[in-house]
Amino acid sequence: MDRNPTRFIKLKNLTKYVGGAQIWSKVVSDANGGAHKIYNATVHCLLAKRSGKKIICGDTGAGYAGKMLSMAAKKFGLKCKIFMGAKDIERQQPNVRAMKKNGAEVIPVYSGSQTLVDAVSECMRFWVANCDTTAMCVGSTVGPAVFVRICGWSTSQISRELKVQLIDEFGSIPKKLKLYNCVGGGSSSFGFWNEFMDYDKKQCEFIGVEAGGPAKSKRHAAPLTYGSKIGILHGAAQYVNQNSDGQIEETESISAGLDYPGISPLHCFLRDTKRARYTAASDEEALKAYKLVTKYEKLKPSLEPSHAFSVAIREAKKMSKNTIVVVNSCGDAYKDKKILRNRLGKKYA
Amino acid sequence: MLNPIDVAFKKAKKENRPALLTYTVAGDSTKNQSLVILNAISKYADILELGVPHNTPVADGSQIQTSAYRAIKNGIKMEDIFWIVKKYKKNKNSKPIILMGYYNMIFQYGEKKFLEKCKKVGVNGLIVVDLPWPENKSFTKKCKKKSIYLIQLLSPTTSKERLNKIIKDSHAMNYFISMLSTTGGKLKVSPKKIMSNYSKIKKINKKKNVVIGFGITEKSIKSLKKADGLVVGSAICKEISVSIQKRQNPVTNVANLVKKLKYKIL
Repeated sequence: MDRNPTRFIKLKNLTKYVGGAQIWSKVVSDANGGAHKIYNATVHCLLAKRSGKKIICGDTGAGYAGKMLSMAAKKFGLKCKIFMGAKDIERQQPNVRAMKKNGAEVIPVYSGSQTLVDAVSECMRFWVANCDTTAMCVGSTVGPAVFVRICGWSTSQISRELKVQLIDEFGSIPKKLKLYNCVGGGSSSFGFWNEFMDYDKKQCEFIGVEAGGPAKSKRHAAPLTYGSKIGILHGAAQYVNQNSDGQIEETESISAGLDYPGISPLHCFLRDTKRARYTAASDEEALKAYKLVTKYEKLKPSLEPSHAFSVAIREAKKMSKNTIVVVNSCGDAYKDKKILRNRLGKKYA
Repeated sequence: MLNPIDVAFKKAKKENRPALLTYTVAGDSTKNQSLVILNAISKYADILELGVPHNTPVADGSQIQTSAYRAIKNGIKMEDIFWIVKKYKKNKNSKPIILMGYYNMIFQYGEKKFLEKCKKVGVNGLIVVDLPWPENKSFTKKCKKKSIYLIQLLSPTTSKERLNKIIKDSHAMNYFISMLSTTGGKLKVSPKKIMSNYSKIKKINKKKNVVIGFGITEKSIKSLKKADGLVVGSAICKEISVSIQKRQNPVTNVANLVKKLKYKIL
């Protein structure tokens, strides 16, 4: 396993093109397996070993949480079962192949919208029925409180590294620091921000970018941006897309990793206390940002961080040169090959 | 005044048998049909659980999920569910009604408004699957004020210490989940084991009625008849699904099934 921190790099060409703040990226997709999900997966496997469980089950949307859990499970000699919406299996094939290669059983979920929300439900059902032999890894900072804490703490490895890297680069934490991150369940953003929580928001601002869905659709996966009401989903109170009766509404997003109707209670709290600011980018905006980033840099952010890049690029234009914008590039676009080819043509796949 | 739920248990005990509790989903497959089903099974069942369909039913297996999705697809709303209970309670032979569902539906309706409405239409008890003890403490108190039982769920993995605390805070009826499973799972532990776990719970407070549910079918119901009450849910929901598939009348088929269940425990 690579013990080096994931890279913190300046996107010089993109900065020049945008012509405002300095744009940097924390290339978390350098992490073993290609995304931040490895941190949570590793900790869950350690806990499973410690508690004497032989099997670990987990949910996945984009397939990263599942892929990393299958990697970690293999390493620790645990049997691994991954629950994944049938729609997501179809659109994230490279990660599905990786899970199978690691010896995990991928169980398609056909209920409801056949995406992440249903995968989480089905995984919880399996665990409830098998908790005597099986440990459960919830793939993001969602679910009952203990799972939110485990995931939040382990994924904070991102900000633990970034803090050191910022001080190495600038001598101290910059006076104007803006941390952009996509938000689905909210694990990568929480992990990216956690170590900076106690700084004044005038110095370290957090910007969470939710998935706005297709520009022409009313559906989205952006409960904070579009004012969804508080509800209870998967054992936690949170802002969640729902109808007036309390039925959970289906979401729509080009990015499987952000396609979740609720959001971590941690982010609900950060919004209510105004510590973080939330906005959304549409499918089209994310694709446009992907094109820009790949045109100017040797970086291929997956569709999830492309949402964050979209807003970062838009806002960086208006900022001074001494402002440090950092975008968490928390996943690699390899898994999105099929979608990118369909939407942007062969050149971008 | 006794809660009609207590009366139902007393009657069953007098007849030296467990109370039979059924579970059907409100609005399955339509608003009217679910009401007709309740009326048809009243003759045989002692207490009727009515599921409030939710589209993210984390505790439910495939049978009840199918019923819930069918009801939602056919347009069932919270107000319709209260309408069903209200209409049903006009039946002279009506039995106690327990609404069973997920907390978000109650939360969106508003706890206070929900309980007032329950009281008004004649709901006697509530099971809220994803509002466990101790998070349900304040809601439990609110239920008590309206003389509605909040039925606590106990499972084979609930620790002794926790069992004591939950039962102390509980009303006169509790629900023991037979095994580690979602609803409708195959009975994977022996009835003997289930009854031994049941006895441990019963010992904590003999006065409180404990029903057993999850995985109980026509085949297994007899072996558990020493319990205060037994719940059959998924098997009934399955009967509705199969009837629809075969283009048969779900009402008569379900009534026949409940009748058979009743005879097994006499």
